Amino acid sequence: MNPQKKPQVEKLLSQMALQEPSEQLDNKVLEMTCQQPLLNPKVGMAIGFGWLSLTLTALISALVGTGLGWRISASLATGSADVNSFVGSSDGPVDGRNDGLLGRESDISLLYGQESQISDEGFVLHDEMGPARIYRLQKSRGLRRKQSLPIRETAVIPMPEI
Amino acid sequence: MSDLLKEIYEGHRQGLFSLALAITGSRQSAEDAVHDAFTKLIGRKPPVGDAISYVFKTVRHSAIDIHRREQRGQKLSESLFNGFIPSEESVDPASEILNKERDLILRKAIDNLPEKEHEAIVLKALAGLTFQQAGNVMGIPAKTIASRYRRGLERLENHF
Repeated sequence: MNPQKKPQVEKLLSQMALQEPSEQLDNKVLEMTCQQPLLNPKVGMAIGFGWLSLTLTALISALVGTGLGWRISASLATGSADVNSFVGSSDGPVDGRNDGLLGRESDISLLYGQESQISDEGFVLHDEMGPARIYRLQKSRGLRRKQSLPIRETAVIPMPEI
Repeated sequence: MSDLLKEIYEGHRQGLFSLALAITGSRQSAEDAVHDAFTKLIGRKPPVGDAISYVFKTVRHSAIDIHRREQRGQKLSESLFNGFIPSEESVDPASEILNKERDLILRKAIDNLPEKEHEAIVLKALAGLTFQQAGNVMGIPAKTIASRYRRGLERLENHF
C-alpha cells in the first residue's frame, strides 16, 4: 500500500456526508427509551399467567376439598345416627323395626376405625340365658380403635336366622 | 437499560443507521432495522460486556433479518453517502473540483466493495468503532476485522 494514499482515502472518508436517519426514527427511539417498562411484556404476561393458574388451581382445590369434606362428615353423621339407634336382639329386630339388617355384625362395622364417634351406643341382647343385658360400646372421641373397647367382643350379635 | 440505550443512540445514531443501510441497501429498511433492534433491546437486561458493540450487533442482526425477508438476496444499492463536505482547507476552486471527482469515485468504490470489507469500513471509518468493537459486532476477532478494513482501503485506493 502506498503510505501517502492511505491517509488521503481515510481523510476523504471522513469528509463524506452520510445519509442521516430521519427525525421520525429519532423520535421513536427516544420515546421508547424514555418509557421504561417495569417488565418485558412477554415476561410480565408469563408471570401473570402463572399466578392466575396457581390461584385458580388453589381455589378449585379448596372448593372441591370443602365439598368432599362436608359430604363425608354429613354421611358420617347419618351413619352414626343409624348406629346410635341400633337396637338388636338375638331373636331379631326389636321395637317393631323390621329392616332386616338389625342384629347383623356387619351393621356395626361402621364403627371400626372411626375415631370421632358418639360415645355411647347401646345394644340390647335378648336371650334365654338370663335377663336382657345392655351392652354399651364405650368409644371416646379422638381415641383410636386399638384404644377403644373391643367392639367385636362387646357387640357380637347373633344373626337373626341363627 | 433505557438510559444506556438513549445515550448510545444519541452518540451513535449515524453509525447505527449507516450500518443498517449498508446491509439493507434501503433507507426505509435501515430505519426499520434500527427501530426493531431498539424495540428488542428495551426489554433486555444490560449486557455484561461492551454495550456499544452489543447495540451495534443487535442492529446488524435486525438489518440482516429484514434484508433476507424483504429482498431475498436482491442487492439494493442506495448509497450510504449524501454528498461531499468540502474541507475548509480547499479554498482553491480547482482542488474543490478535484475533491468532488474523488468523492464520486470513492462513493462508487465503497458501494461496490465486497460485503465483508464494506461492513468493516462502515464500522471502523463511518461508525467510529474500534477494531475490537467492530470484531464484537461481527462476531470475529479484532485482527480479522483489521485485515478486512485494510484490504477495503487498498481496494479504494486502487480506484485513484
